Amino acid sequence: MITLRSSDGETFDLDEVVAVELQTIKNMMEDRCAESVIPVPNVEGKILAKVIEYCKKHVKSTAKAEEHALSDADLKAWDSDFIKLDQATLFDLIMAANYLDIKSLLDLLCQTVADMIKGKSPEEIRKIFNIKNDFTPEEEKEIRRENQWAFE
Amino acid sequence: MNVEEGSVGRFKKTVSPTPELALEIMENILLRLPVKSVIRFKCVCKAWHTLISDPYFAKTHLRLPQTQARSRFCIIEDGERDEHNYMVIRAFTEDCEAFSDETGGGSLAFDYLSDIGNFKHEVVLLDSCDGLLCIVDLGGKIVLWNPSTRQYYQLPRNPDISEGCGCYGFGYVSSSDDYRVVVVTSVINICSTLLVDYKIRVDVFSLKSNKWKRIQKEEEQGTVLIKYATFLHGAAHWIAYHDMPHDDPRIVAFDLEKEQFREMAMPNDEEYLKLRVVGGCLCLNGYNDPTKMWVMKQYGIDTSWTKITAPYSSILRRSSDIMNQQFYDCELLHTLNDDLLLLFNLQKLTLYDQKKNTYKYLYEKKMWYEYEYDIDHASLYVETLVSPHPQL
Repeated sequence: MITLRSSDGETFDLDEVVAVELQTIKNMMEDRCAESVIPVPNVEGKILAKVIEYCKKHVKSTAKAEEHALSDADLKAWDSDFIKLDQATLFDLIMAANYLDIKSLLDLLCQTVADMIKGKSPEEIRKIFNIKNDFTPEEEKEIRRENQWAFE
Repeated sequence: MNVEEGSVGRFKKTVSPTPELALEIMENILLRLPVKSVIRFKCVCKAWHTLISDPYFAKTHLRLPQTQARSRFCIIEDGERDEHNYMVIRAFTEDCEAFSDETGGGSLAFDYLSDIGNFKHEVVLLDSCDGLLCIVDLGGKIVLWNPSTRQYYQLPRNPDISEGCGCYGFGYVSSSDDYRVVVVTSVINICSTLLVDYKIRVDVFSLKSNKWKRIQKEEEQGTVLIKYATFLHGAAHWIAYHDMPHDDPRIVAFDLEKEQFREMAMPNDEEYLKLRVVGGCLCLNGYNDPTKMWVMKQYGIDTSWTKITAPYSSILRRSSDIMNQQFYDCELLHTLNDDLLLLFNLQKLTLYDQKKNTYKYLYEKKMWYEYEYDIDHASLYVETLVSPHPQL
């Protein structure tokens, strides 16, 4: 049993087989033997809870897990429900998945965001990601002109 | 952290900031977008412009399994009726994979038309590689085109290649990260009234260095190559016929990296054959008998040529309303989900369902003149960000 502690002090107990899905935690487990509680300072409780929920669902490998194993189709359906989140939570989750190095979750979340933004305009993109436009109006005009067709 | 303050009144409002994603995470997201979106997002900010324009981004995007898994159809056809000798290239912007969707692919409209300069002679889609199409005309004009980014580049002319004489090939050398065009020309020396001497001259264009290079090779006997090569596993492959009638045709491959020729045997089943790559294997289609198709199941193993029965041809022949049916046989372009076959026969792009034994026409190209052996006007490509320009 591994215990993780979020940035805001919440603790979560996980089976080792789930904990190793989080590559960062797995590496820590291999390096620091005796620690009972592993701090996760970058991730707050409500986000860590979501991460763990995902990992528990996606864990493979043990016989116990295989009993409850979902089919690929079921898992996909579960994933589509899982990602129905507000934008801020999605982004927090992405950062957590990145820090904790959970490839499948990161792929799922990045794909979700990609699907969300693919049809949008540059202005909408800047708003979503809180990005400052550091081009001058002339520079931006030139870039748009070069690839006119992409804006149609 | 940004904390916005309400400016009016006694209350300070604290608004949760939108978490800002690091650029490496943004890269992960951007790599999953359609090319059109990525190009549009170049103007979001300078950091994104630099990221997206970097050849490394294009390379990473190219190597993604989802990039490789999707194919699109491209075709050369006649331009508007009132303009003569004017050819246009149409690239479908929908993936072929959408055709396998019951609901999708109903009316297959591509929204993009391009005529890349003027081609004064017959134009051919030579081959596609990493999303780049190589377009060649009989006048020796060679253009590299990426239909996904709409960039194109016309190769500098090689004055030593006479018009209409070369046999062309296009491909990629991974060790040098270079796209190359190879042109093989027969140079005939008439030594005397009885003795004619053939030399094969090979010219290779390197996109990276934007230069032509001459590779002199000497072959004793004349070897007649079919004009346009197919690229696979680092080599351009032509069907070669010997001068002597009793010699079997074979495949001549030019390794673009080693710059050497090698030969491969091929089944001598048909008078005219067309070589294409389908599903990662060399395939031979017969012009006169489309029921015969040969697949080289293991590359380089001569004995692995396997004959495949093409189930679709009888259906399509019956339905064809063209008189000289023998010239209009189908060629397999692509397989989708094992059951669905994408076929092309001069004019029509057809989706054939092997399981149900049904077919539907997806597209019929405009043709004001009749062509023979027209299959070099169609090709599949993948959607990539690869630039057709030399890296200067």
